[in-house]
Amino acid sequence: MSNVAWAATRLSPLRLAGLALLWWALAGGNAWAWGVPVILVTALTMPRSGLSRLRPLAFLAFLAFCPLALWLALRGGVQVALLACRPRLTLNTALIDHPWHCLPEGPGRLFMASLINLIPGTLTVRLAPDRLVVHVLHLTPATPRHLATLERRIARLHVTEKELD
Amino acid sequence: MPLPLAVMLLLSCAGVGLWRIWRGPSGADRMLGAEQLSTLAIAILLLLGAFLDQPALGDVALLFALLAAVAIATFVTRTWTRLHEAQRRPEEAEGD
Amino acid sequence: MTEGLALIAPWLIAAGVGFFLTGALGLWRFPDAYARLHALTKADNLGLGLLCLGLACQAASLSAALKLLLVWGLVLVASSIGATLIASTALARGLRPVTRRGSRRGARRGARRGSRDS
Repeated sequence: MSNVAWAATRLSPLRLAGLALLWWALAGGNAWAWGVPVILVTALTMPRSGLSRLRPLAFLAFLAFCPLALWLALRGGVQVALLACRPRLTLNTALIDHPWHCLPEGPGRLFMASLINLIPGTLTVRLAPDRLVVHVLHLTPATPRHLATLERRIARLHVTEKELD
Repeated sequence: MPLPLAVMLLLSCAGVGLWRIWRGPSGADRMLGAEQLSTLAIAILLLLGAFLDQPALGDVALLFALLAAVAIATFVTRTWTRLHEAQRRPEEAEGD
Repeated sequence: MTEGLALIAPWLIAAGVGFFLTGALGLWRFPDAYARLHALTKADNLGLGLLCLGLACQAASLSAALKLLLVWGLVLVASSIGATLIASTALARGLRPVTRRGSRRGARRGARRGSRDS
């Protein structure tokens, strides 16, 4: 009986759809005779990801978060490009600490640490239990505030509003 | 942008990466050079695959993308033990 | 629709190549490994992203376009996590970031930590 429950969690429609999409992209649209067994075996053996541990509604919030992340990545690239093209290199680099305010321990913190590497001018140097050590390429007074805003946004994906306040 | 020009520009970027690997000065810098080379290799393969009409090159690029992750993980695990013991010390000394 | 996409594709590719060039410039000019890490993770990823987007606009089929975006996604994840791994390894091995003026506290902390770790 527990085997059935185990298989049911592994073979959730969302996972199957995701894997089918992946196979479709990799195999170029056909070859489903190979694809279906591969998808089933992968779904059974693949460990549950951090994404499936999010709150159910948070999956939509996660999708809504993606454009923001891409926009930040675009601005990050443009900023670095402009800094690199300056005739005289005047960088105001610094190491700052960002203490955790509301994000609980777990995948959310890892997600934020990786996202920080893409957004304008910041780079995670160390992920500690109580804080994040961030290397800032060009420090402005607003940088710590931006980090706090980002943390609140990510926290909204992982905890409910009530726990946040 | 004509294809030869784009690929030539990307190759000149790869020259900078090679120079960085040769110059160093630290292991992290050399790793950065290697990372840049692999990203550039992916870009060049994708460009060639699209314009020479050889979709197989896209698969090669996908493989490079997978290997890039493995390469970084290998670099880090090689220095992992040092990282671990160095991370302990500041934690203990932070309270003073 | 398809014609419009085919029209913007060369511009996206050209912009992608441009970002690769600035990334290389950053790798060449920036003062220390941490700053170079900024240049690589941001500029190169964005360059590859625009390039993939441009090629995806021209792709023959939807699945081929999706494969291009998959390549970008893989590189994005690998290099954004890898950047932190490289930076923390460098810091733990005592490579001190170059900090100019900046926040006093940040500079001092960095220096202290650097000297402890080495």
